[in-house]
Amino acid sequence: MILWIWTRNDATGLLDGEFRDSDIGQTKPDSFEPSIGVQEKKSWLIIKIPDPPNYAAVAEDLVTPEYAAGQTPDENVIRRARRYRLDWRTQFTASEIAIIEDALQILPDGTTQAGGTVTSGVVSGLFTINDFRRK
Amino acid sequence: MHLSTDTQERTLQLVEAIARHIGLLPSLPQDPQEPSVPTVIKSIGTVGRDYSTWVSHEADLDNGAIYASGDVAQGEFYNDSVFDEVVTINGGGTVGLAGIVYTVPVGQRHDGTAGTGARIVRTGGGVVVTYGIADTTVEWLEIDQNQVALAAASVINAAIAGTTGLALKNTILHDAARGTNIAAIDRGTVAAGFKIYNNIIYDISETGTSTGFAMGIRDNGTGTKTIYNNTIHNVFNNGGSGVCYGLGVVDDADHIYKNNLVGGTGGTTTGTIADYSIASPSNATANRNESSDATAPGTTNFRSVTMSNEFVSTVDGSEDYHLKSGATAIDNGEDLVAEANVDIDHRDRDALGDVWDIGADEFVAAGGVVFLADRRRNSVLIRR
Repeated sequence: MILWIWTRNDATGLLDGEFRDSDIGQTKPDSFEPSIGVQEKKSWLIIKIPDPPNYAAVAEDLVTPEYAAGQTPDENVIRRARRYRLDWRTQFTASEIAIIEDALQILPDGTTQAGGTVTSGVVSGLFTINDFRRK
Repeated sequence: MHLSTDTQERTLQLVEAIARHIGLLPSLPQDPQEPSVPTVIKSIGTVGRDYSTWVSHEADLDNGAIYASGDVAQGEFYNDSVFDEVVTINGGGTVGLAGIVYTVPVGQRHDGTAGTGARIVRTGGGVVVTYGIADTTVEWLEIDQNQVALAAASVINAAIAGTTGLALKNTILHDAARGTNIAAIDRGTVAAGFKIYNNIIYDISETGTSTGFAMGIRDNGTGTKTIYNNTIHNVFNNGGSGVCYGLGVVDDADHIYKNNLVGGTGGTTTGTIADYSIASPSNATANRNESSDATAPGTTNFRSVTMSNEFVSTVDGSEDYHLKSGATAIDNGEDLVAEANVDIDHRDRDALGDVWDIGADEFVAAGGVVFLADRRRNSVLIRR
């Protein structure tokens, strides 16, 4: 499973309520092979974890917001952050976090300090589905 | 032969002027006094693009490293692979964007039929596009709900309080179903200022036994609304007692309906079934709409038209809502605003001197050749 992890918080002045630091923006299966955008790699922490059992349900749960569009047009849309988060900062050094948070840089290919592998901006070998926490 | 530096420079200027004149180079701004709005274009696709998903592009709209106050953020979808996602467009407020445009470049667009250009094919039931911030345009996409039951009442929703400057143009929306209320496009009660131009909508159905409605476009509430040149076909409400309208309109003075082609509305509901919910509005402005029943509103209208005589194909799975020769819709539309001038095939009705047709397609007789210049990409599209 490939996941797009949002790396910004209110301190960076970028949020308007839709995403919060460590929210999951998008999920794709391991078999997702097309290139991930360059700007995307700069703006998100993109990680790869082993596909969990019951992949479809997990993938949907991870990106479901706490509240979403109303069931009828008369209801206001309530924008909230995602229900699950990944405490990604625990697995990176300060210098790596600085790169991840900088929207103009991409983690270089190679190994990370905690033993992960970066390939074309996608980090693998650091997390599993068990690392995601319900907020 | 040796040329002086001055001669060389003049020659280069002449060559550049010729290149701009014939379209090989982009034209220079006509009025240097007119301040231009910076447009930041980012590609969305899966082969070497800036983003692989719409959600990721949208989430970056407040990224100060990319955008500045007053910019227009333009996301361009590429037909690299099929998209399958839902998005709420509400970013850009913190940065202060002047506008947001989601479009599809020429060459990546549909040709007026499904499966031919950049598209979203859904495997889930959420609202596909939610307009959540002012001055947002979505155009040229195909959205195929793929008969996966919607979890909410619309495919495209603009139910955001106070939102203005919204536009939906040249999209194809089809195959949406739900067991209760459903509309392909829903302009909620609170949003203001929505332009819905040149879209094709078909196969929208309410499948439950409830009182739920089924509508192709559900107009709603107050605020300026212009609905021009849309083609809507096969909106159904089967079972229950809800209403079924191809175009559910509101009889308010700031609502304008022109050149829409609606037909084939039907179903087994005991509620009202009609192509248009109001055939004779007292306050709304309507003109030159067309219907298969007797409800097309307008000072001039075209009612009880046989739809099989209008479209190339209405066969399920191979729909082609281009007009065919002899269609009533041909040359019976009103000449409308420039923003609605480009039809579902990228034909500029005004530039080519067309008498406007009704619906999303502008009919071109077989054998006719049209050259569409796209100077931005230095290309010419030849369409027969």
